[in-house]
Amino acid sequence: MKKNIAENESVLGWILSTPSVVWILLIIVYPVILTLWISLHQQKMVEVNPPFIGLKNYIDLLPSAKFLFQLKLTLIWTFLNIVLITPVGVLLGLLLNRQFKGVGILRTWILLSWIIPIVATTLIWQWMLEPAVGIINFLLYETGITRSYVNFLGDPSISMLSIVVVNVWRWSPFMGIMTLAALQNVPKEFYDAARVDGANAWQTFWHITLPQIIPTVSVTSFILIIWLFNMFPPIWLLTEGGPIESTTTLPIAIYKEAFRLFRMGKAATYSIILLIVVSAFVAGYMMLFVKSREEVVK
Amino acid sequence: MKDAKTIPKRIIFTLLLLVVIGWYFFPVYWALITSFKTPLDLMSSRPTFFPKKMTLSSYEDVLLRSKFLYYLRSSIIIASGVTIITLILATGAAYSLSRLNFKGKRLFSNLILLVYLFPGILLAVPIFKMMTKIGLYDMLPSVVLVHVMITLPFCIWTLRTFFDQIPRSLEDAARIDGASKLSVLYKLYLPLIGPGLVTSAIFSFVASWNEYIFPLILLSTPEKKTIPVGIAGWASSYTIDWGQITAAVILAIIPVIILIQLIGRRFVAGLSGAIKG
Repeated sequence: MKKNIAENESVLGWILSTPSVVWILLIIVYPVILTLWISLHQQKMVEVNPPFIGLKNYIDLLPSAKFLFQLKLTLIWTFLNIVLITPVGVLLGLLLNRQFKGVGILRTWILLSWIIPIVATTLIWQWMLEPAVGIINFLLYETGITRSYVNFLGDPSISMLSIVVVNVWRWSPFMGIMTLAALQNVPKEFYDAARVDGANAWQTFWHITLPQIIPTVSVTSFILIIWLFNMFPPIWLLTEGGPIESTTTLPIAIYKEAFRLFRMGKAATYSIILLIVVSAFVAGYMMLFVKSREEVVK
Repeated sequence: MKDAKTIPKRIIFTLLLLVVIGWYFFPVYWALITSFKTPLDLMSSRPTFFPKKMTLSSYEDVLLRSKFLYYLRSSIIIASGVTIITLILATGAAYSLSRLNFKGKRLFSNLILLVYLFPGILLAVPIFKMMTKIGLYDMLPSVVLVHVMITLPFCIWTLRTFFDQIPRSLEDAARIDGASKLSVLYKLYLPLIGPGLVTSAIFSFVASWNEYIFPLILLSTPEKKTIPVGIAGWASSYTIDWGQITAAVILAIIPVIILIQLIGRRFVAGLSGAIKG
């Protein structure tokens, strides 16, 4: 009898996957429900029985100028990042797809900026962007590009752009590697056929290479948009949302409300709103993804 | 004729390549150089691109006169715990997804994809409340619990592709010899997916080692902080010692260098495979 249980595929499948499923439910699904509960209460720190206030948090937050400003900053942050990461990454992928000495090493080491701890990234760039003795200010000043030293992270008019540049440095290799993988899946016969037909380099790129990499690039961009919209560490570590709130995106607002101002109810409300946005994105992604996949199967 | 056309092209290509290499690698080089500079060199208004005088004093400061070794201990304990738990859970899940037919299999693999997309910051508030409630706040296992969720999806996908590559005929042969499904998993499959396990282990260790949000919100005792949270704090103190900070950054990067050196290629393949689903 015992042998039968271990032999039954269904039962064994369940036994082996249940721990992972439970783990995921415990660390993701339950917390989401808990967040919803907290957002309906006037939770300050960790009181056991916070008073129920219904939708008051949402009613206070949603129409407020502060929230709309933060939403705008989040959209600007996501937009600037994606319009820089995608072309830079695709160009990087095209470059890495060529054959030259050392390309093999470069193809793996290019991941370095993406894979080092985010704290390492931000500390290195804080040092390079330092307003008094930083290397970037030195180079820009010496070459005559700037007339005085710039406070890249401390000046609200340029802080957003500075953190975007750092993030592009970190994330463009990710897009590059995805593009490279797609490029290497393009059948060689396509290029041979193009050559026989007398296509020039630009025509080959436009009619063969581009259509072949667009699916990968768009899926990767889609996932990146979700991640960017919710990205916390680079912004927090570089500017803590400042100066003068100029980089307080929604994820930064969640952290500040919860762990600086100790208003868990407010922070949970932000989280639920963000979650709704993410869910809409994911639903859209799934629909596109599942649809195109089924078409391929047919 | 042909040469006249290709030579400028090659020059442009080489220049482009140099710009790319400079842009992606100079910042890390700069941190490395800074970590070896003397305090006097550091504050010079004309920075030197290669230090005239190299010193290890910043590393001495980090290792002997800071809390770095405490951070290192926390980071190693957490990352090791995450690695072991992830490997156990992911092997079982990957095997069942690759080799077994059971109800809910599709739902399960969609659930994994969902986790892959789920942003960590949304969990900050409820996880903090949960851990406080069950008394795990400011305890290292709380971070382990959360980090496993981050590493599981990638490792399940990676191991699944390894299981998929093993011909079924091998299993059938073992089954005819009377081996049960579980013993086939342990005795036949585990040695064959060895490289997959190594990839997953190194990935899990580095992912946990690098992660910033959860040790930040779940640990408060200074001696329990992990390396990222600990050294991030140094940059917001009143007297910032960039020599010390860059030295700590270089030390924090070492496991990542090992990852790239050992499993770089396979990691790249796994990454593009996981995105394609």
